[in-house]
Amino acid sequence: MEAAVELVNVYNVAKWGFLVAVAFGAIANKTNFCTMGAVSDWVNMGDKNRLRAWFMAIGIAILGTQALQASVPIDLTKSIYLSANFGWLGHLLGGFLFGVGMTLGSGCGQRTLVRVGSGNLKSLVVMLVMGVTAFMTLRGLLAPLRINVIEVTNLDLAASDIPSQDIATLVQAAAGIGDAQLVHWAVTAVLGLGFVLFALMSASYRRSFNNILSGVSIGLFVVAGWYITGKLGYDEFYPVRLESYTFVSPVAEGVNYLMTYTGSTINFGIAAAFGIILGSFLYSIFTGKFRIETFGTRSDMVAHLIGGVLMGFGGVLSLGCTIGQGVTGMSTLAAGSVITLAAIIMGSAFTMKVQYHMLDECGLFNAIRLSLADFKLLPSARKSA
Amino acid sequence: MALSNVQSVALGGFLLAVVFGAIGNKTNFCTMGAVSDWVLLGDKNRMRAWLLATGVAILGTQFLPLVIPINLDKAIYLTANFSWLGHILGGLFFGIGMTLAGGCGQRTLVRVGGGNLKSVVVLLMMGITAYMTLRGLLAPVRINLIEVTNFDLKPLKIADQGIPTLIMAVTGITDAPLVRWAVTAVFGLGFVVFAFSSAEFRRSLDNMLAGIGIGLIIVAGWFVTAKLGFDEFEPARIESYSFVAPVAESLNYLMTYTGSTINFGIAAAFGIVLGSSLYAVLSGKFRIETFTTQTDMIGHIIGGMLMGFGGVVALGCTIGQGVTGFSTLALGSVITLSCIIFGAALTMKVQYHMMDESGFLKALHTSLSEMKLLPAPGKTS
Repeated sequence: MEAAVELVNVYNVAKWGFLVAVAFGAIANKTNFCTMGAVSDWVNMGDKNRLRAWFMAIGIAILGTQALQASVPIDLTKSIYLSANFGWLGHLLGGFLFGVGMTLGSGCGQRTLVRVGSGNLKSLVVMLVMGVTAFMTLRGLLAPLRINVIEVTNLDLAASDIPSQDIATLVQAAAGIGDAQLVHWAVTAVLGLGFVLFALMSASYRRSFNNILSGVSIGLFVVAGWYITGKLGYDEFYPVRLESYTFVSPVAEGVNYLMTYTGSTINFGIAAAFGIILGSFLYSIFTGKFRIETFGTRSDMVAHLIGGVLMGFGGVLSLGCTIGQGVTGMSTLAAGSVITLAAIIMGSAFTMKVQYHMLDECGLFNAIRLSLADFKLLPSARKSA
Repeated sequence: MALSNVQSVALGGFLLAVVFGAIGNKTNFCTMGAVSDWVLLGDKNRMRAWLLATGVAILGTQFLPLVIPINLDKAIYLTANFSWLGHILGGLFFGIGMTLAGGCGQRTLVRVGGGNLKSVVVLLMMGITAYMTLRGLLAPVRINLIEVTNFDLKPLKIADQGIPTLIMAVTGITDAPLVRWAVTAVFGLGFVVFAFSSAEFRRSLDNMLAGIGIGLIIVAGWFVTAKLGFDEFEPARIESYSFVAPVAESLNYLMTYTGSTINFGIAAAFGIVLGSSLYAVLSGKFRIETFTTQTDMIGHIIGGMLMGFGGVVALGCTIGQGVTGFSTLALGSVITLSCIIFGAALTMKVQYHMMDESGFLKALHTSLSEMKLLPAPGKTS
């Protein structure tokens, strides 16, 4: 059956998005790539290797994506990340909630899909709860809350003659420098090389094959995603949406796609979500790592459910997750991505501290107070037993 | 602000469902439990409660046209397009599913209201799978494998699948009211008498309350959609309580709230949860429950999926077909009800025999032979 003309490149983009995602899923499974784990290793054990892997991915994605923009060319201002309508509150609050959620839900959106692929039924529940909540935030019961409480605070940069939230553009506007190209490449170099160097600085990281593999390849996958939607998906009359990998609203769309298959059309994000699951599944089957995992304790199940809700809601508010904003968004040099990334790490680290203090059987509020003190946000409090 | 007919129907459906949910929780009404008590313990009291509900619903619903104008032919149950395979397969799947998932659609909603998070997972699985069967990935399976076998009664000059209509067609009797009242009396009074024939049942206030209360609520549901939903040009769909497709629509309603409209079934699903929740909180029974073992979680997930698929293919669940559909005297409802009970009973037998550490196939064989459907196997231990 021949696809309708306007769907030819849609299917092509979905196919390539899917295939690259299969590799993404397999590598993420093999290397234990996990942005939540990255924060956890750092906060709980002082081990920054997985954080370096994540930052390596960001650095590579920035360098590759900016090179792609200059050479192919693609126009990143058409992606959601560089919008002049700056949703600062959504980035802050959504990022923080996502960070709390991924800590309670044992991993971010991408990690959840990888875990589903390797037989984890707890993550299946997280995925469904996250997907349904995200769809509710996009178009359902929570959409009015998003629109009337969060998005009303959006700051429209266009009113100040700033065309996008690109950091280079903001620097130019603030400093009054006229040479756009110079500023753009300077910012690219500082951030892109900065992240790569930060990762490579550590001898322990340089010896870790898995962390190098995950950092470099996931960075390249995000660049490939931009190429797929920007170049392969380009069509004079029917271009597809310019995007790369992200794992909250595509999971929501994936659930909706299964539910309304007979009247729905595939897209890059939906294909990517299924691809990650398949890639992880194949890797875990071939290596004998596939194992059914289920909830053991009450607190485990309650935490996963709440985590899924928070990731679904937060991930839509902030326009992306640890990959969607943390890598893909960062690769466009958007200011909102930096805020989201920082807020996610903050929310996650904070939750881990609270969990740690609660192990001492102090109550939630006491644990929050102690954690804030750990972060020097409150005067340090004596631990009451 | 005056309510539109759609809003009145939703409000009426919601309020009655709150009562339904509270009664369901208070009396432990459970169609899966009814089969389980019977098969595993030989105790038929909850089965009597269910069949009493069916009997009361039949009598009340058949009397309803004498009181208000209502055309039950317009409900999905009496259609002349007879989906025999859907009723059989869907019923079996639903029966297996509700046994694995700790309860049918209605019971799952009651358990959610009582704080059971396992049932929240079942609800999600059932709702998503049901919607997938209605309009999603599984819809082609339903349409191309199940519904192609539908048997259209119209070419035989049979107007609907109501048992009275079929009897008239077969026997050639032409006195429609006579046949209809006779069938109503046989089934309606038959179920009521069956229930009350047990002295033990007559002493069980909870079981009588559940049977009579739920039977009457089904009748009230028909009343609400036919009377409050009446409109010359845009009448509400004629329906009463059912808990698979409405759970799917509720999930979709939450997801697409900004562009969706409430209806009777969606309001009913939320009403059950609220009613059960209110009862649980006020009586101090509210308790968070979660998965403890691997088999428990896997059972609930598979059960939810089977109920979602089966409930859509069979056009209803233990309430939707077992009570509501049955109250229209549709043949498909009788088939679905029988298949649900068979599927549930067989699953319980198999689970029981598998506890003896016999394999699945051996347990299945032993169970079928106990039901006199296969010769007995030589028992090896």
